[in-house]
Amino acid sequence: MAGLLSRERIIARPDFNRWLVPPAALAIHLCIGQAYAFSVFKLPLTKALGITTSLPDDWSQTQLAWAFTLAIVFLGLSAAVFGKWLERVGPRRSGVVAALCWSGGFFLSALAVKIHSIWLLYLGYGVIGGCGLGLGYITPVSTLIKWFPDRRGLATGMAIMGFGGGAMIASPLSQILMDHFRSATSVGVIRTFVVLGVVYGIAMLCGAFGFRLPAPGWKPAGWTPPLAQKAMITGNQVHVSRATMTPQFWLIWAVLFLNVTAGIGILEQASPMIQEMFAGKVKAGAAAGFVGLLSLFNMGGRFFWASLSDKIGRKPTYAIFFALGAVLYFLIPLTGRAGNVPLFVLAAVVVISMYGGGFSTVPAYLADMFGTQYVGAIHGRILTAWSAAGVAGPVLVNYIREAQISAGVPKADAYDVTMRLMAALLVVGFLCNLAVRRVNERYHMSDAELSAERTAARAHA
Amino acid sequence: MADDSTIERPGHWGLVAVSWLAVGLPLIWGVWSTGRKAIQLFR
Repeated sequence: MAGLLSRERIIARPDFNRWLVPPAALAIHLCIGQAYAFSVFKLPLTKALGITTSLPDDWSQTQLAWAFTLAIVFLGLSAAVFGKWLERVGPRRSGVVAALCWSGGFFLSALAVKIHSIWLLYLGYGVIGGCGLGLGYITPVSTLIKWFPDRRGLATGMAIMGFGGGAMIASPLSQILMDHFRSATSVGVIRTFVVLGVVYGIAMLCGAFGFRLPAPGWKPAGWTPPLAQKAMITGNQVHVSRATMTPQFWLIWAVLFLNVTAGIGILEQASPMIQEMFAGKVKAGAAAGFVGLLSLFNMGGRFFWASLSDKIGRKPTYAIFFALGAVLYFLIPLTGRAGNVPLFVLAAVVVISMYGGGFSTVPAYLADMFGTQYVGAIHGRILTAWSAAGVAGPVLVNYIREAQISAGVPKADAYDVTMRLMAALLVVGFLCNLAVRRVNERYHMSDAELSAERTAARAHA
Repeated sequence: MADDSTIERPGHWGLVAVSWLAVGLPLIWGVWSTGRKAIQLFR
């Protein structure tokens, strides 16, 4: 079994078709994207004991929200900690571990609901499932970047689009399963978790076993690496431990953090925001439609912007995110005052497409700056920005809104300060992105260092 | 002369099509379900 999972075993033969790698990557990302659909379980889980109504011993929505928060925190932490391990052991072993953690997390969560232990739910879905999320997120990205040096943005866009799409599959699927398993004595969550654990486990294992690595020196037919002097794309490699010492790493960390924090400003409050800003015009059903529309643009933006970055470059792509995003955030409250729903929706969907685009363009940005050798590990460490934004964004947005309402500001106007703050964050992001330059040559690995690393990896395998 | 393993000679296009269908169909179903919900905004 150990040999079956080894890095050496998955070096591709010359007739291997690299277009088999994106579906393998998508198989994993479509599964872990379920994380964004966790809210579909919140209401049923608040009635796990009472079935038709919540009993005093039933879990509260606040308690359940922590399971999702923990999963996102452990996504970032595990990606940061295990990224280097992934580069050493290869994507198949890492993908298998991700599958075991993610599906195992669902089985433990089912047990947690059965014995009604919130701590077991935190351990299962939050900690173990979160580790599956982190490894499952970086493994396909690292592999795709190695196969598509000519179209890094397109490749990572395809995989990370799957993360957005995963929630769109999980949400209706979970609802169908819960409806099917619901009975007089159960809300149907336990069996739904078990089925999801089995389905996700199988799909992720198929993805993991579909991974191959290109042979050393492989490149796509007819492609020549761009000249390093001409663009912000290096032909050199930077070791993960050195990458974190460069200003570029921390500037890109800030870029991701600020872009995600700003996007959460819309995502977190999408449904109440549109109903309160257009009171009387937009009802709950239409607001749910607005949330669905945001999901579609979040997913589409991941593919569109990352692919566009192959043409115009990563730095200009982020410059568009921050400049256009700041203008749109500033305009959103004005559309509310003017009662212009279509303009509000247009601004929101463009903002959210750039939120998604920020996630999918960052791996290609890192590969351009630090090379492809350790991009999985470096990407893993960058993802701590997502964890930080996942906590900071909602706290910031909710705190400001509460403070505004407490100060007597009408609900419809309570979003003004939040939106302006988001615009200000994006201006800071624009400046951070502007400051990104080529990595200094002193951080590059020498040929001898690279060779020693590869020999050590082979010895380990 | 280049190492044989570094020259791209892709094959298995049938398997590529099947793999894309396997991930594409659930994704299309998810997009369709979400799209149906999103239409409520325009009613």
